[in-house]
Amino acid sequence: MSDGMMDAIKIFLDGVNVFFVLYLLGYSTFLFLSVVVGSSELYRRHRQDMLKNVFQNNYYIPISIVVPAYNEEVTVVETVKSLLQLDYKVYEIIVVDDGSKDNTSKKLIEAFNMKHTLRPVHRQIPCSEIEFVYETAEQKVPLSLIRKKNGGKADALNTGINASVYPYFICMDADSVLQYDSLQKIARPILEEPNIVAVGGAVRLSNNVEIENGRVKKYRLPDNILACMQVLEYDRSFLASRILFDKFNGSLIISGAFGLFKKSVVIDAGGYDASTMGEDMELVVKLHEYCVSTGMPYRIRYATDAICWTQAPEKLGDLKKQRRRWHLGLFQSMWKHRKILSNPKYGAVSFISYMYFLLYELLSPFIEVFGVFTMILAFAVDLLNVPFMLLFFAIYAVFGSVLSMTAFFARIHTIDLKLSGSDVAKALLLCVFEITCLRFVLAFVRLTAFIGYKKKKHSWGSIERKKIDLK
Amino acid sequence: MHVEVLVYIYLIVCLSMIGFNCACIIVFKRREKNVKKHAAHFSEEVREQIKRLKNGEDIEEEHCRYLRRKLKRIGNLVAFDETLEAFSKESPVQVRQYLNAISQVILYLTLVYSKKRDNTVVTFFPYIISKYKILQGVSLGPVIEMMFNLVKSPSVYCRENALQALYSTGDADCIVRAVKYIDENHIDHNAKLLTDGMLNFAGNAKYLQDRLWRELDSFSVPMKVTILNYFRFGGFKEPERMLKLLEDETQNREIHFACVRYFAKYPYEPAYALLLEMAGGDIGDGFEYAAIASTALGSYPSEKTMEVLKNNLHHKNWYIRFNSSQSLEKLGFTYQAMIDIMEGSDRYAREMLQYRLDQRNNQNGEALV
Repeated sequence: MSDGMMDAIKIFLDGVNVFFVLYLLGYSTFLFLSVVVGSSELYRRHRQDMLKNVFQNNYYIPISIVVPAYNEEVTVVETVKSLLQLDYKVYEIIVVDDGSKDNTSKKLIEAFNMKHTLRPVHRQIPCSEIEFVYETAEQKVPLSLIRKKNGGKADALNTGINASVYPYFICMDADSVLQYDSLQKIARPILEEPNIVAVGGAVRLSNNVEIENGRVKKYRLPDNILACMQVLEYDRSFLASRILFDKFNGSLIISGAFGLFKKSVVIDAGGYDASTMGEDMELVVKLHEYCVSTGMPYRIRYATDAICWTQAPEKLGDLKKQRRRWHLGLFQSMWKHRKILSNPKYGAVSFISYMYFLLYELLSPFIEVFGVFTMILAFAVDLLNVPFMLLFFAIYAVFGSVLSMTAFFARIHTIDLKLSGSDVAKALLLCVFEITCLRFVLAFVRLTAFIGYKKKKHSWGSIERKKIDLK
Repeated sequence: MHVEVLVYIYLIVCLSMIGFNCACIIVFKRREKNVKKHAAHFSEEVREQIKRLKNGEDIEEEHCRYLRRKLKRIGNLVAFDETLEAFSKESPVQVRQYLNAISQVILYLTLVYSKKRDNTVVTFFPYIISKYKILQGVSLGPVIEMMFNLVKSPSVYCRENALQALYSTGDADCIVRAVKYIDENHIDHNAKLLTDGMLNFAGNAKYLQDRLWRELDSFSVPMKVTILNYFRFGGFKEPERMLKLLEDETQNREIHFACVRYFAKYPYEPAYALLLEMAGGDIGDGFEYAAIASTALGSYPSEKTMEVLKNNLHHKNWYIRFNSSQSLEKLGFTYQAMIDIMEGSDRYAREMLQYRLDQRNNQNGEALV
C-alpha cells in the first residue's frame, strides 16, 4: 500500500475516531443523566408519598378507555375483567375489534352478555366503517364493543376516540393489565397543573409477576432469560430516559400500551395517523407540532407511578418482530415531522429530544455498523489498538451494567417490591449480558428493519400471546 | 483529555449512584423502624394523657414540652400521625379532646413548620391539621394564617392540604377569603379540586353559598363557573337568583352554561321558557346553548318540550341531536309519538332514536314495539 494511501486511511480513521469519541460521549452523558435524574425522581416521588404529598380525596376525571384488539381472543376477556376491577368511578371501556379473524368479538359478547345496539358514533376523525356495536350496562361501568373493518391499530384507536363519551381517553393494548390505581395515578397530572394534553404511563413487564385484582401479589423476575433482560432494558432505557425528557416537556413517546390524552386536542390535531406503524410516537410528536404551531400552551407528562403490566416477548423471533416494528415506527414518525429538526420554535424538543432519537435511536444501528467496518479496516492496516479496544469495550459494559442496576434497584425499592436473593443475582448477571449481547442483536434487527418495509408497513405484527393469569 | 478518563469519571459517579441507592434503602428501612419505635413511644405517652383527661385532669406540661421537642422533626410527626390514627379508631372523641388540650403545641409547630423551606415537608403539616380537623370549632388564628399562606404555595398538594384544613374550620368567611385569594393572585388550582373541595366544607353550607353569592361579581369568569358548579353539586336552592344570572346578557356564555346545567339538575318552571328558546336555537351564537339546553329540557316534561326536542333530532349538529335524544329517552318517549321520525327519511335522526330504543329494550330485556 502506497504512503499516500496509508496517509489517507490514517486521516480517515482519525476523523472517525473524533466522531466516535463525540458520539459515545454524547450517548454516555445522556444515559448517565437519564439514570441519575430518573433514580432521583423515583426517590423524590417516594418521599412525597410518604409525606402525604398526594390528594387526600378522590377526584374523578371522566375517562374513556379505548382497547384496540386484533386477534386477541386469548387475552381480551381477561383484559376487560381486569379493567372492570380498577379502583376508579367515572370511566367507560370501549373495545375496538379491528376486523379480527378469530373470535375476539364473540368471546367478549358471550363473556359479558353484551347486546347489539345501533349506537351513533360521532366521526370527528377518519376511521374505517363500523360493522356493529354491542354494549352492556350490567357491569360496574359502561362497556362497549365496536367491530369495524380492518384498518390497523391507529384506525381502531380513532374509532374508539370517535365513540368515546368522556373528555379524556386512555389507549392501551389488549394484552396488558392496568394496576388497580393506575387511572387515579395517570389522571393526577391533570389536577396538578394546567394545560396537560397527554400523560404517559409506566409500562412494566408482567412475565412471572403474580397479579391479583390489579395488585401485585408476588414480584419475581421472569424465568425466561430474554424477558428478564428486557426488564432491565426497560428500566434503563425507557423509564429513566422518559423521566429525563419529562423534565423539559420533551417526551416524544407515550407507549401505546398505556397513555392518557385530552380528546379535544387529539381530535383537533387529526387523531392517530393510520399510515404509520408507530402510531403512538407519531401522535405525541404531532401533538408537539400542533400545540407549538397553534401557540397553545401545553404540557406532556410522564406518570412514573401509573403502572400498566404487559407481556414481554419470550421468543427471540417475537422480540425481533416487535423491535423491527418500533424502529420502522420511529423512522416514519421522525420523517413525517422532520421539520422539528433544528427548528428553534420547538426548543428542547428539537435540540434534545428529536436529536437524541435521530442520532442514538434511528441512526445508531447504521453508525454502529459503520464503526465495525472501520475497526476491520483499522485492523487490516494494523492501526487497531486491540488492548485499548478491549479495555474500552469492558468499560462500556461495566458502565452500562451499572446504569441498568441503578435504574432497576431505584424502581424496585421506591415501589416497595421485594426481591429474592436469586433475583438480585440474576439481575446482576443478566445486565451484563443485556449490554454486551442483546443490545447488539437488537441493533442488527433495527439495521435490517427496513427490509420488507413496504410490504409490512400497515400490519399489526402478531406476537404469540399467553393468557393473562389474573386471580 | 482522554475520553476514557471521562468515562471513568462517569463510572465513579454511577458507582456513587449505586451507593446512593444502597444508602436510600438503608435510610428508608431505618426510617420505617424509627417511625414504628417513635409511634410506640408516642402511644404510651398519649394514652397516659388521655387517661388524665378522662379523669378531669389537665395535660402535663412535661408532655407538651416533650411534644414540642420531638415534633419539630418530620419523621416524628409522621410517627405521631400513626399514633393519633390508631387512637382515633378506638376513641375519636378523646383524641379530639386531647388535640384541643395540646393546642399550644400546635401553635408552636405552626411557627416551626412555617419556617421550613422544603415544600414536601411543609405539606405534611396542613395534612395533619385537616386530617384531625384541628381547626374545627377552635380559634387558632396563627394556624389559620399559616394555611392562608400555604394557599399560595407552588406545591399543589400543599395548597390542597391547606384548603382542606380551611374547609374543616367550618368558617365560611375563611373559605370566601381563600377563594378570593386564589382568584386575585391567579393561582392555578384546578377547578375540580375547588368545586369538589368546597363540598367538604364542615360548616353551614347554606351560609357559605350565600357568602359566595354575595361576592360573585367580584370573581373572574373561570372562578364564577367553579362557584356555580359548586352551587349545583352542593344543593344551592336559589333558582330565582340563578335565573337572573342566566337572563343577564352581559354575563359570559360559560356562566350561562353553568346556569343551564343548574336548571337541568333543579327544574324551575320560570326558567323553562328561556330554556326552550335556547334549545330551539333562538339564543346565543354557536351550537353550545342549544346542545346544553336540550339536555336540560330532559327535566321539563311537556308537549312543547317533546316538540322542540323532536325538531332538534333533525339538527345538523351531532351534539344537539345526541342530547335531544337523550332527553327524549329521559322523558320516556313512545314509539308511536316518534313514528314520523322512525319511519321518516332523516337517517341521522332515526339512528339517534333507534339507539335509545335499543338501550331501552336491552335494559328491559324485551321488545318495545
